[in-house]
Amino acid sequence: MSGALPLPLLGFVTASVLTGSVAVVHSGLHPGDPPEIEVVRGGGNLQDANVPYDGRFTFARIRFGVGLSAGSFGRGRGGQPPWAHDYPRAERNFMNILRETTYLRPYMDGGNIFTTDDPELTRFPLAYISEPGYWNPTESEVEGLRNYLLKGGFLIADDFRDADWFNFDAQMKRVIPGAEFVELDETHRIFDSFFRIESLKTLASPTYRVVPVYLGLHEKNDPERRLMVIANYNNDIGEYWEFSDVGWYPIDLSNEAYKLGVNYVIYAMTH
Amino acid sequence: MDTIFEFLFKYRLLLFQEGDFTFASPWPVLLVLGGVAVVTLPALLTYRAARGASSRWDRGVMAALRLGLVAILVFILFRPTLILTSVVPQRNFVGILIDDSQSMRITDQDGVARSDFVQATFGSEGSELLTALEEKFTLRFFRFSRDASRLNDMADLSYSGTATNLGNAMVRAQEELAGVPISGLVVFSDGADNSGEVLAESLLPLQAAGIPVYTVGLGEEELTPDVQISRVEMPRTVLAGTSLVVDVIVSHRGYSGRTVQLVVEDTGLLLASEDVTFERDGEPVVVRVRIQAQDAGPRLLRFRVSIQPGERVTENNVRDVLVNVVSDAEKILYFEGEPRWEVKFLRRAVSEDENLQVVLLQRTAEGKFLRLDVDNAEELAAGFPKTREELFRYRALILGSVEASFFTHDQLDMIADFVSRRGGGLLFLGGRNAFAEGGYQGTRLAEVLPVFLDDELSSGVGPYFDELFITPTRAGLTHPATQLGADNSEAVVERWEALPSVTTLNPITRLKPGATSLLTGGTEEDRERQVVLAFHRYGRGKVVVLPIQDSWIWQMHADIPLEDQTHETFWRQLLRWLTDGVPEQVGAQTERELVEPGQPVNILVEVGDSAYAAVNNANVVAVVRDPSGDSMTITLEWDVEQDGQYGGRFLTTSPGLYEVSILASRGGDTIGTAVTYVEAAPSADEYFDASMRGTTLRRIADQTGGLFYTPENVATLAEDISFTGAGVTLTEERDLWDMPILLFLVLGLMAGEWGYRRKRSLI
Repeated sequence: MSGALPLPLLGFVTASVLTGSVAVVHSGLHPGDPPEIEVVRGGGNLQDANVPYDGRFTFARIRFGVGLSAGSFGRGRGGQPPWAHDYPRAERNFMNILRETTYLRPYMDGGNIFTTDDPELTRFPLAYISEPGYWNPTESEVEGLRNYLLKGGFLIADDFRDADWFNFDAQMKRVIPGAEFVELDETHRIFDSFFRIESLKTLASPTYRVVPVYLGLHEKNDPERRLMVIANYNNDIGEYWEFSDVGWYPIDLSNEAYKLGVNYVIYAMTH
Repeated sequence: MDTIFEFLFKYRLLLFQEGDFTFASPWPVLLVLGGVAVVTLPALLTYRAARGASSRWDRGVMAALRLGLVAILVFILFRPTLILTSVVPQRNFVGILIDDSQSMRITDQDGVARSDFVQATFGSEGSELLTALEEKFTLRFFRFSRDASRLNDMADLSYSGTATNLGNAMVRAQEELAGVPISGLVVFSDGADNSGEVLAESLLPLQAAGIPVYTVGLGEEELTPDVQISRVEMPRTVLAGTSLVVDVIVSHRGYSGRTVQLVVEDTGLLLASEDVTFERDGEPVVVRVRIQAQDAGPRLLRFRVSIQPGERVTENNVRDVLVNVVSDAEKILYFEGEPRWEVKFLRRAVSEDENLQVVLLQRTAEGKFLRLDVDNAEELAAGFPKTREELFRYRALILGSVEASFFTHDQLDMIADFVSRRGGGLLFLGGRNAFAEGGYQGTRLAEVLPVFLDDELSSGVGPYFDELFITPTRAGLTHPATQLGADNSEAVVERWEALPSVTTLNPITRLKPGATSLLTGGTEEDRERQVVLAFHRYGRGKVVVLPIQDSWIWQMHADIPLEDQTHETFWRQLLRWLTDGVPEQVGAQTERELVEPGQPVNILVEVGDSAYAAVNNANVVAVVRDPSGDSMTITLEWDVEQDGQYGGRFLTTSPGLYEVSILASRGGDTIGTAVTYVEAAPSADEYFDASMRGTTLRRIADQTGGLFYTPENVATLAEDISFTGAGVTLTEERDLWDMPILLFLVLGLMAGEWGYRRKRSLI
């Protein structure tokens, strides 16, 4: 139904659009560890930096308080909360790609940050949650997300792996009681909404030796219905987005991560 | 008044009007004038010469009085005469036409049924009027309601006719009496003609033959007190699930200030009820009733007003309307020029609706299109339709944020033709590439739009953006597309004004002449700053604009409860209305949807090809299935005066529902099919507008040279016909010299002169 944009073109776009747009701060990490970046925060209150709704597509990242390991992500990130991983470069780069590959004209300077009980979130029907393994939403946040999803919102869960699943799945069951995630394969419409993604195996996890699995939560647990949540389990496409312009990861893989992102957005905006 | 006239002038005014005045003096005029001069001149000279106590003024007055007296005597001497043409007794025929319809049973204020007068006049006991008529004329009786026929026995009048056709009755009577001298026709009726035919045409042969029609109006010209459902205005075909706003016109007399209840039922099931308050006496009230078209199939809806105490006619409180509820999936093409949220939420709003199929064609990138909900792999495979045949398959087209330059000139023309020729519904959504912002000024589509694009705000620098709080306009209060499921106008305003604000990139403020605005938006305080929903008719179709970019806010906003259906309802009703009345290639309807058993039904079919050009050489067949399930096939004929139109008729027999299935083909290929329905049931038409129509009856009399009567003054009918009627006539002279008025004048003048002299002491 949709022809694929030639990969070399996407590669070209990725490189040319993003070059030089991010400041990477190397701080004596162990070789193989991902580089650390400075997270831009609005004076400690990220919510203040949100841009008001103006009808444009704006990337919305979910902020949440973490559970037992609150404040100590423990991996040398200087106290950066897990939900903020890859912010804001991931969204900024991704918006560039969206703008170049599609006719979508998004807000270009990063994105907004909301808790799921923030009424303003409802003006941005696609949300992204990073590290949901640490996610421990309050009752109010649970209800907010439930309404958001059931009314038509779409959630991308990214950057989690191994046992993180158990937390995410448990929290999602609080949000949508009886929620049953199903594993998606390449035949799902979301993998053909813009780019034709031939194989989900192409994209490996950027940082861990785990095999990515894509799990979806459909409306009323019916695979024929709309997908409300997609979980990039054992994967971290935000990581690819963040570093796609610095050569940290192979361009082909970054492209695959972008293709998934673009497809998610187009699917969410049509289904 | 007439009696005084007749006393003074010896004859009735009518005779003076009909007759010619002349003098029948046996003497030559000159001789008489000479005699007058001989008498008058000496008298004048004497008055002039007389002297004494009288003044000049006194002599003048007395001379004038005396001359007046002389003038009257001279007038009498000339033998004034009235020459009248009257019919020869017993040589002429008069047709008596008696209304045999149900409305004659209505009892008027005097407690007497209209038919009672007929029975009293022509019944077995006879009457003065009948005797007078029989003395002068040979009478032929006719009865009429829908049809007319000879009446040999008054006992055959049943007053059960369910329609009144005055014109047909008069024509039939004239035909029956052809060849004999006719003095005139007398119509005894309430004049409540409901045949729908033009009366003036029926009067032409009577006028040509010079046959006067005498009308006797039975009943009152105002039925008070009474309530009536005068009219119900609703489409004959609706899509299942459509929320309809039906106009019901309720008339009344004598119930000012009263509130009555209007209910709508579908085979006993209550669909809606509305309170109606009557204001000024006699002023009809238009009631807007909201009903939901539920189950598919032909539905007989009953509109009913409860019977009021003392009401004169109760049969006119109920009206039945047959509506065909169809459950087809209306195919709508939504073409969107960019990824945007409106697509998702519009699709979701109608996804559960079996009657709406929104086919999405979305340009997601340069030269890249996403198709959803297409019927097959070929549909829209080449992008936006390039031929009329391809585009005209859809019943409505939604254009999203797509710039005008995307389309070729031919495609823009095609879209205009889609509305004007195919009769489709076209909806323009707001967006960064819509309206003026999409470069539509000066294109063919700018002509099609119901709004002007040359707004001052549009020509500003930088993209326009505004937040809009919405309110319905006056038209929007009762429009089917803007009801949001509310059941009254106050609730409509409340629902719209409670909705969260949306935004626009297209500042549209000016409507074209003839366009209607349904929703406006602006600041919370001033919600009428810009157009939010407006439409107009363009050719056979309609064009609607919704220049906002995010109606989905009404679904997602935090203030909107999860279970709220406002957004879904809005889009479902908007799209239903958009496709409402959009013609098919083959469209069928019957002239009336309700007929009486035994009445013929006219079928009208319109046939167009795939580009909706009229087809004149089609083979059009109707299969009529009667209530018992038996079918008959009728071949319809092309109406040579109308391109693409075919007609035929069939006769109903038993009461019940008749299904008429149409198949149109050409050269063995099917063009299309259509189904329509007719209900055959006894009609209560006679009880609607059942007051005596004095105006109609007077007009018939005036235009044919007859006279209008009521039972109070009909006694002179026989004599009047003899002087005003046609047929074999003779001329007669009537002396006027002995009119009492002349004697009174003579006496008056003499007494006047004497009295004057006394007063002036001239005796």
